[in-house]
Amino acid sequence: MAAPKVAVVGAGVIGLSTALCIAETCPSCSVTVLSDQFSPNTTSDVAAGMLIPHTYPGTPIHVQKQWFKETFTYLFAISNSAEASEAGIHLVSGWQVFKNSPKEELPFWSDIVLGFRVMSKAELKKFPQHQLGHAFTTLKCDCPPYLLWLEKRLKATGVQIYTRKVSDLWELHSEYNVVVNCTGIGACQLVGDEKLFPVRGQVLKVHAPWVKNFIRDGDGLTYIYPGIHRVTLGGTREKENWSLTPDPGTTKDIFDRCCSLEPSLQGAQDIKVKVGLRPSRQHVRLQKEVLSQGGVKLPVVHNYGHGAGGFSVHRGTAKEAAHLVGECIAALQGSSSRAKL
Amino acid sequence: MRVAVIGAGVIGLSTALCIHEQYHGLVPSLEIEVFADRYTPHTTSDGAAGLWQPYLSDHGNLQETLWNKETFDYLLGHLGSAAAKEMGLFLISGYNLFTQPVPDPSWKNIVLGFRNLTPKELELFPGYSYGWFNTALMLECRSYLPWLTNRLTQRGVKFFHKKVESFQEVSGDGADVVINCTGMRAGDLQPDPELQPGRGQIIKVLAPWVKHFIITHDMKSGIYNSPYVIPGSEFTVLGGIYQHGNWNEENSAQDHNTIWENCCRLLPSLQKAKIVQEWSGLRPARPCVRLERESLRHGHCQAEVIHNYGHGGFGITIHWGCAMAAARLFGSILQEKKLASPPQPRL
Repeated sequence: MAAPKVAVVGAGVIGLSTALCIAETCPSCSVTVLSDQFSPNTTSDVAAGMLIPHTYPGTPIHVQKQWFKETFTYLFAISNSAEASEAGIHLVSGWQVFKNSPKEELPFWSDIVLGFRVMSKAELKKFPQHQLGHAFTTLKCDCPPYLLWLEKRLKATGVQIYTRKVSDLWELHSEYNVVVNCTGIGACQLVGDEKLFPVRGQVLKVHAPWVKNFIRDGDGLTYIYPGIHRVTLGGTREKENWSLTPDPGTTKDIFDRCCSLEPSLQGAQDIKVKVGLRPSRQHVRLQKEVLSQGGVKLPVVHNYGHGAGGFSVHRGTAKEAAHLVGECIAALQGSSSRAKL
Repeated sequence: MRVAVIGAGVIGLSTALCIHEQYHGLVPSLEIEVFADRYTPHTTSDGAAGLWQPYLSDHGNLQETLWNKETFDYLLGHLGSAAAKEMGLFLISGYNLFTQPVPDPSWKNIVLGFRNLTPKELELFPGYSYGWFNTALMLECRSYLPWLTNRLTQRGVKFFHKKVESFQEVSGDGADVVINCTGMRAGDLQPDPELQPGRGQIIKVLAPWVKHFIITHDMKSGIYNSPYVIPGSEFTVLGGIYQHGNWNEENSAQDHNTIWENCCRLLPSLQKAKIVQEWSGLRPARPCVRLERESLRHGHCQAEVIHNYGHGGFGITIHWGCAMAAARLFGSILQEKKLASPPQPRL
């Protein structure tokens, strides 16, 4: 088979990082990214991009840990290089505080982030409503910079990027040998996945450059994540809510909750409100599927459903997806050479 | 009761405020006037990055360690207040790096969450094999000095722009107590061979992705002669120059190169940082802070002087503890003058 043609549908953090991994592992492949939305209009652009994993109930912990470790290691190297500011990757330290003791004493990722330890009583004084806390240092991927940097890396390796609304994966079968589905919440409609559902998140992005540490309530609802230029204040987790319109009552509620964790936020300026739909699932759909119609086959690799944990595992799942693409291509080459006999 | 404060850096303004807060109620006639030839943003304090961190060793000077602690606790108490942003006060975490193991510092239990660095963290800093992580405070003088000035103005304190040439100049003019917060130029008012400049130079850059302070230490070359990176609310300060005895306040191209190369090696992402400003200043270095009373006679006039200078590279770190100690000395002066006697029981 001449240069296998791979289409990656979706240009959020999952689509772009998957395309990059495919280009890296399969230099002979011709990779194309197709999406109707690009940064700054993807779900990824709304997210803070903090490397704090979300636990998927349906995936073995050792697999999630491996995905996170690969992602952390990859981004750690970039953060420590001259490219860090362009890529939007930086280290940030802070605290996760709990009003009630968490189920597990230590999260599965505590030995992957840096300097993880239980907070001292003196540190907890800053959070009078909270009983217990964890202090650690992790990474943050700021968007749009990270997505724009990925696009730049892709173009440098010869990957083509097109704006195109794909309504049905099958429409790609005549142009491409393998299709990679990184459509996030779009997969609901695109492939009719009933196990995929939105978890609506509203956030505020504010100007508060004196906030240098992150603070996260262990319930996952209230968080303060300092980025390069803006601090992300969150948030909400509203299952099955499809509305992309910011809600003013929610804005005030988020602001009040964050100010009670960090009073200096009262002085925050230029508040921008954003909404994203976390593409949520019991476990990430990371698997091959072969579509067929009238004797024609189209191998598909799905890589979607990362919910609240996309940034934390993106590189790990991208590598696994690239591996699955390699298997699809090997199978196609095997069958095409058999056809020659 | 007229008080003349000479000097309007962090020491002068905070001492003036501390004294007024504590004694205005007891001494309704208290009048404080500040005299200085340099005001914010042109003071030595304005050049400092503003990180609360004492030197590595207090050399047995427990008094100074206590003043540092009092300052930290005072600032920490203000963190949650509405004033914090206006004061330029915020929490910041970061790294102290060494090429060999060192004893824990006197301030390990003053800062928050002090711990040693893990091997993985040390991978970030090739060439350094040991280090600390902790959360401390930033107090940016470009905000703090105006905030102090506003508080003082509200209290009726007056400010005068002049270079005071002698203590007699202000005491002869009617000041009962003179507070000497003249920092580097205290020697102009009274010779002090122990006060020497510790010249520093810094480069201010735009690097908002840097969220931690990083202070490196070279035990051979001495404090602040090794690169450091301190992110502020708007700019990040790059430094690593300490030249004892150098009075030159002009920027040096050689020092610029030293700072830039060393800091970029320490933090490669800085290569893309945009340089905004360069500044040099003289740390008012002394073996210990001069914080004491002196009675000065000039003919028939006697003036009480309270000296509060020589805070080297830790002025912001120690300022409030010193202000309170100076205020206590002021209180003893009031007692002697029978102006602030303890309340008498009514018979």
